[in-house]
Amino acid sequence: MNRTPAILSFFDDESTREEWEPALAPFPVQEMALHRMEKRPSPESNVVPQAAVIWADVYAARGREIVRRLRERHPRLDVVVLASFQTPEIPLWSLAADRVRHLIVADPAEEGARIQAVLRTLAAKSRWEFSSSLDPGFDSRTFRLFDRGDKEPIIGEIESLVSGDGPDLEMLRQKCALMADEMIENAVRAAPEGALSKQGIVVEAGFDGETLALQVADGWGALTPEKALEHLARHQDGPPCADGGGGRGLFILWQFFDHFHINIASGVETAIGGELRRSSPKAPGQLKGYDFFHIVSSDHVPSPHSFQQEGDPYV
Amino acid sequence: MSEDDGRYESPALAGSDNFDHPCTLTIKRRSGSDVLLVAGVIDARARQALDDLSRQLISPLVAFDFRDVKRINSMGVALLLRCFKYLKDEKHAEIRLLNVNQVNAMLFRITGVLLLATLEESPYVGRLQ
Repeated sequence: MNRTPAILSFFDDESTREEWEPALAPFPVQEMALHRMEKRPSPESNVVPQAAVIWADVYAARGREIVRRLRERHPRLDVVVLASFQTPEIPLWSLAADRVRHLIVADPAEEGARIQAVLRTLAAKSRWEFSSSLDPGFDSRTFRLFDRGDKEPIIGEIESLVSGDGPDLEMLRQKCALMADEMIENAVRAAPEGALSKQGIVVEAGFDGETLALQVADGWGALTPEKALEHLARHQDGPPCADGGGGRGLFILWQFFDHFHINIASGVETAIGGELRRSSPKAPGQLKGYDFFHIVSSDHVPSPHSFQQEGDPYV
Repeated sequence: MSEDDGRYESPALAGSDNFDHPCTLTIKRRSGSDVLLVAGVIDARARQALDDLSRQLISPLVAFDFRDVKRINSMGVALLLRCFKYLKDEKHAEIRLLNVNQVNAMLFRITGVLLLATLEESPYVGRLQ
């Protein structure tokens, strides 16, 4: 029997569905409604869901129940919540509890290509390439850091990618310096003893004149998608705590990046990155999206800057 | 008016002489207030300097001037939160933040620093020369 891959979609009104339809058009989308899920699928059903996309209003109203039912049948299904810039804040504790690893906050008319790239990456169970959103011919730098003392020169080099005068470029330089600092410190703090000086971490930056992309990858893979979500949720709601810095760096990254991603191969590699746009439509504090791509070890394909020594087995 | 200056500096990073911007904190005492000039990068290295400094501040009004701050990372935010909490709880001080650039203002908003201190609005965008 042929198995048909599909993306299950949950929208609650026609106009929203039509808004997102062009972005989802390249994919075999099967529209769903909760009442249809109450019946068990027939044994002859040949639909193999690759992901489920749930519109924010539907998630707010019935999300917990939908995700529960989906996971009963497809325990490892990726769930994506779609939202607009007008969507009110979504409690991250709810997304964390539901293991929603993708929150896309976008205008589908403007970012259709990026939305499609995220869904394709999900379906392929591969990693997000940090330069995916950059125009061809972008200027880029790659560094390997073996000591914390290397941090400031690297940040200086990244800042120099954004050349030119003007308040928007100055703001972009300041943001990218902060983002690079947080990502480097995150990787350095997570390093097992001796690992940093032996393996180093890889810092990548690219700028095409409008979008600056950054990524820092380590070879210890200490983060999990669930832990990342917990960190974001704790800082979204909690009062400021001087000793509650755990995850504060991750929260800052999420709030400042226009797009924030993490590639996670547990025990093997963590690559944290994102994009900053010169003319950003979003301000820190506004609802922001995230994409946590969990690369299961058996599916793991080494990155170009692989941390594996020859002969090392994957975890 | 007398001015007592105190200066505190975080340790420099070895091997990054041309790029390192250790945090320096300079106290300027005014009548009725302490003005603290902060410069450089506020990160984990600023811990001792901020701890030492907190004990030296004596006025009921403390103003932190961030004009020459290059960058504040999450560890720097944690240290500032600890410092501000100490000043409010132990010294009952009012804390004002001066000449904060837009990125640091955003950072303070999202991390709750502004629950402990008042931001004096400024369009200042500039950077350390």
